[in-house]
Amino acid sequence: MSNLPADEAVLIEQAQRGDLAAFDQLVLMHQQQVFAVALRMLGDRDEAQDVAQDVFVRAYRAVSTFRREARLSTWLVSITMNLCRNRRRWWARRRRVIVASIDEGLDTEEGMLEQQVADPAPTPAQVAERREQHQQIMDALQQLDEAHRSVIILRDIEGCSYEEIAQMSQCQIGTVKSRLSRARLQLRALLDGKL
Amino acid sequence: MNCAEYKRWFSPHVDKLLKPEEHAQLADHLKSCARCQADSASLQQMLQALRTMERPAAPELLPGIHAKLTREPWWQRLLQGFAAPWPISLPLHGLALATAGVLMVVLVSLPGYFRMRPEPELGIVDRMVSGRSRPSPISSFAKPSRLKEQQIGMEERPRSRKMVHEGKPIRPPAESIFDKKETQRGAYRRDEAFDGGETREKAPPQRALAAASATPMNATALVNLPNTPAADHRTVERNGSVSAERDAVVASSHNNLSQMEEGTLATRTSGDTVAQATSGPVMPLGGSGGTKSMAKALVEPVVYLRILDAAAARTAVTDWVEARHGSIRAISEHQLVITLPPDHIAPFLRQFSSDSSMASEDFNRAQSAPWVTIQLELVSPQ
Repeated sequence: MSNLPADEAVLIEQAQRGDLAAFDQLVLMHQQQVFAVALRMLGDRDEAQDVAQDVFVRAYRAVSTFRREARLSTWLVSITMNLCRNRRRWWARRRRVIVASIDEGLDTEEGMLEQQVADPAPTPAQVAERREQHQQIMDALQQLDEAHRSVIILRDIEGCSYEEIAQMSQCQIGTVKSRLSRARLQLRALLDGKL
Repeated sequence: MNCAEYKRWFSPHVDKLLKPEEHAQLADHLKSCARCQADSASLQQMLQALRTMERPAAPELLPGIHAKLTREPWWQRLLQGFAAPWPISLPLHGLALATAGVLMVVLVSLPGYFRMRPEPELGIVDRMVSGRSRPSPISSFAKPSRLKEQQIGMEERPRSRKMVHEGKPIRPPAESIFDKKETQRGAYRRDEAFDGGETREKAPPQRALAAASATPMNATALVNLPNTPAADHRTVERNGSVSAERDAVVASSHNNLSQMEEGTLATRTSGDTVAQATSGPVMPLGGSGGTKSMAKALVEPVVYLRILDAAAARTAVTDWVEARHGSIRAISEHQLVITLPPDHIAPFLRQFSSDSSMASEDFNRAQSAPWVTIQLELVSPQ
């Protein structure tokens, strides 16, 4: 069973034959989601960029094994979660302090422009309030453990279904439900009175 | 249900996963519980904030991806690092030199390490059993395997493995009771003996004494021999490589037996009762003033034979064994160790023992061994 869009399926087929240009098209289609997940999992823009590149490098080398039983985005996010987990472990071994910097892009002129493009009519006060809110959410997310953080990101931020989350996390749907319930209550407790 | 249980329904309620009756039950509770109502509203507000988070714009990933895809393998980069100009390649060259130094140290020290390792004890057994090259009393102390017992037709456990000393069970001589140093020392002494016997201690043969005792004698006559002063510590000189080889075996066994002398093994028994309980039938010994029993302990393929009395008998035994190319060594004033091919065991017992049935019954067990070592313990008459 294939859940892939027709053009995506064609691009995958071409990439599996070694067509790098077709793979570049796939990168452009999915880099936003991969980078967003990496950024929210790691909380560091440079690390997220590095991990996102590694995700696509790994995907290109293993694209011949992609069976098209799942969506390509599910497969890519699954790789992203694994690499983010490895990266955080690497940090933990080196006692690196993880500083949330989800909105680093907004500090730059380019970031401000992107923010304005995404929301066509925000007032400066709204922009500042939203930035503060996002930063609080990111800070709270980084305080959750990895399993709870990933399930919140995938379900409540990326909008993935329970089945997709179960596929990405390689666990049962019931586990996803219970984990999500606990994660939401924990996050709400962390953000209580801040939103 | 209490509030804590209703809180677990908040998450599936948000995702519309509750059953209709559960949904209605939760709605009723929320109407009646202001705190749960506030918590539910807070949760929904948080989820709304999460959903409205903008997805951050991704930076340009393609150049980095292409660079990583076209990146050369590590070994090529390593080669390039070595080929780089001197200041750049200095760390790699230093690392290579250090690695080479460590490898050289390891290679140089490895042979010494293996030389220091003790020779595996099992190997000695294997050589003796399969090669029939030389007898090894050390390996003979090992417990015989079950298959071996079946092969030699032992219907009951060897009595020698139930040696009793004054009514208490005594552990039979076993390889495990000798420490490895002693075993290794025995092996070294065997090797030393193979160098032609130059380092061996030699003693005059005292042929005159041997000739005086050359007449065949039975066990009764043996135990009635007077205690000859000349039959003291004596190491028999042997010629040729065969003698040297046997001497080596006996030399290694002396280590074990000297431990027995030191009390490590309690095998010295006396008296009819003890002898009978220890190892076998009481020998029908006669004569006045002589000792009354011959105790023997049999451990395949080594046979310990204890003869009471007859210090002069050692001369007769020595000549008899030498005439049959066996080896003999005195390990103390009252102890001899002889090594013979198994087919000479029965004649030996017939020569020095009046009980021929014992030879055929008990020492047939040792027929499967390439060599049989017998320990003789000579006890002076009372």
